[in-house]
Amino acid sequence: MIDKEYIMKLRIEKARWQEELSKAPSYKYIQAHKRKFGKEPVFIGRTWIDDPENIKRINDALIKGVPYDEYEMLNEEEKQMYDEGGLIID
Amino acid sequence: MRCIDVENYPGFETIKSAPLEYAIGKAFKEAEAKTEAYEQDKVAQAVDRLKTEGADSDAGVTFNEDGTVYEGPGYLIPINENETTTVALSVNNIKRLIKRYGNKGPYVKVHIKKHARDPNKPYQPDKVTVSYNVIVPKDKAHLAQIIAKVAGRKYLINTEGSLAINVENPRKGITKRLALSGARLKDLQASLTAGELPKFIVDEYNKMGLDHHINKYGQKIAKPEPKPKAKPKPKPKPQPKPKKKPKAKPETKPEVEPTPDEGSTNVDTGNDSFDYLINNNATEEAKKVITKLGVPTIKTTNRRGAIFNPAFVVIELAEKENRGAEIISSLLHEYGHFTDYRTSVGLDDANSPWVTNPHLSVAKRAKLTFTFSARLRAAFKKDAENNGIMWSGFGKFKDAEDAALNGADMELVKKYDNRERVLRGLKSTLDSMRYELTKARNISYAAVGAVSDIIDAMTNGAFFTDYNSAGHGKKYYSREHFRYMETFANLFELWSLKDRTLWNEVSRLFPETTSQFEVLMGEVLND
Repeated sequence: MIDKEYIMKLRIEKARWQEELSKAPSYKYIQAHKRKFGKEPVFIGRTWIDDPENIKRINDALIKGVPYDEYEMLNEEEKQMYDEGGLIID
Repeated sequence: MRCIDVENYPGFETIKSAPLEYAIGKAFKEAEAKTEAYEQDKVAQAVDRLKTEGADSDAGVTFNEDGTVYEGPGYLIPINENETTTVALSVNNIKRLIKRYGNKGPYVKVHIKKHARDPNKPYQPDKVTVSYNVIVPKDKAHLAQIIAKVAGRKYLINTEGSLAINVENPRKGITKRLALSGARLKDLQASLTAGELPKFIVDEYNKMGLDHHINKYGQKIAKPEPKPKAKPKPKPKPQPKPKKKPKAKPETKPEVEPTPDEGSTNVDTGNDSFDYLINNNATEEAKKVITKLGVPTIKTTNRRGAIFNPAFVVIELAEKENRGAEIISSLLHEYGHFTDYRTSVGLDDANSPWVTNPHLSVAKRAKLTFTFSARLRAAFKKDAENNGIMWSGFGKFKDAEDAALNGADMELVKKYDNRERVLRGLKSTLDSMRYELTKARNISYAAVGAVSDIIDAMTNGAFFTDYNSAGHGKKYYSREHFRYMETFANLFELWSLKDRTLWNEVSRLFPETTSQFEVLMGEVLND
């Protein structure tokens, strides 16, 4: 038996969390990237998206009109190694 | 824009008109100018003079701490600045600023700069920058350049004519400026009075990796010679105290020769700045492990982040665009990958699967190379389960709501619900930790990403992708062996740092994994 009240509570919490996430400094840049290029910016190394340096990179990509994609920044050999799991990127 | 009522003008009772507003404002000002109080008010006069400057004029005014206009020569280094327009520029606000910064000392001045309009834009308000600044005497222009360069300022203002002067080679790629407030500001003022640079500026400059160093007078000096290769300084052992104190015999030799292990270990990577960072921020044990396992080739690149390439045993690091905290974090992390690689293949390169199994695909060789001990793997899974963020059979449902709507039993639904709460809580804890460590200028702040990345690996990338935390994300962690490889490197990074804040935190969160890691490192050291 589905507990409707419990599900409602879960939904409210989820909505609150989404609202919280939308306050992140990178949020509007990622949304703009999605709108402009149809996909989120691609980071392949260990990173924190809200890092001002990353926000600057997304912003620059929006200005230049080229999607931000760190995978595309690798050369062909590196791409192959990365695809096969042999290149560790941080 | 203000609304101005025009009486007896049918159809135009309320109009919005910039020229009319300007004319009325001007009339008010002229009337005000005639009053005696205005005659005494130097701030109001200076602000009005700026407001009535022509559109093409670049002008500025500097105020002393008592509100009088500073008319002497000198260079201003902006500490904080705000942009506004001449319309919004308020005399009272400027007075408040002068009052607020008046107690900071004679070397802090409030400056207002009006910028010339851009001739390519049809209509625009006159832009004004209001800043408070450190003033450097004109004969110490070279000190002003150095301070501005180190503090990440892009320009200085010459008080004579309010001309902005670009700073030569500002710190590239650094978005955060060096804070100049509180104790530093006092230090700066005291040093400028003595015609010297403060120690923190000299130290920061010498860490910038230029081909020279400077002394406190701003003069270029040669870089100190690199430290000699890891030769531990023998520490003489204190002699056991005899019960009765005999008279000192100058020719007495120590009974036991000091062993090399007793001194501090110095890592030599072949790069002075990396050596400095590791030797000052890593624990003795970590330095011993690094020295024992050898040094891979370290290349510096211009791209973001860092890479460990096991095929060529090379670490690639973006040195220039990062600060010390990011470099030490990346460096120790990549050494973690290297340690994982070395402990898996042994110290002999000839045993490396990269050499012995050349017929295997890169992926298979990578998996063979990074074994991530079975004990550690079990501990990792146990910690994930104990924290309620991963369990066997996870992934059947998207989240708690999905589980509830698709017939999962209540216990499982609550397990999903609890997982979400735990991850939200962890994100919030790590965000505050990062904030606090950054605020305290603790070099470990960048390594908070390592704690977050371990959680990201445990959640198969969800912590990064769905919770906006530091990590690699779902795409990267869709490959299972990456989860273990990255966790090993993250643990090594945290375990190596001399500052134990983060290792203590990760030990609290993941006691099984961290204790197994400590055992593993002990085995490496005693092997």
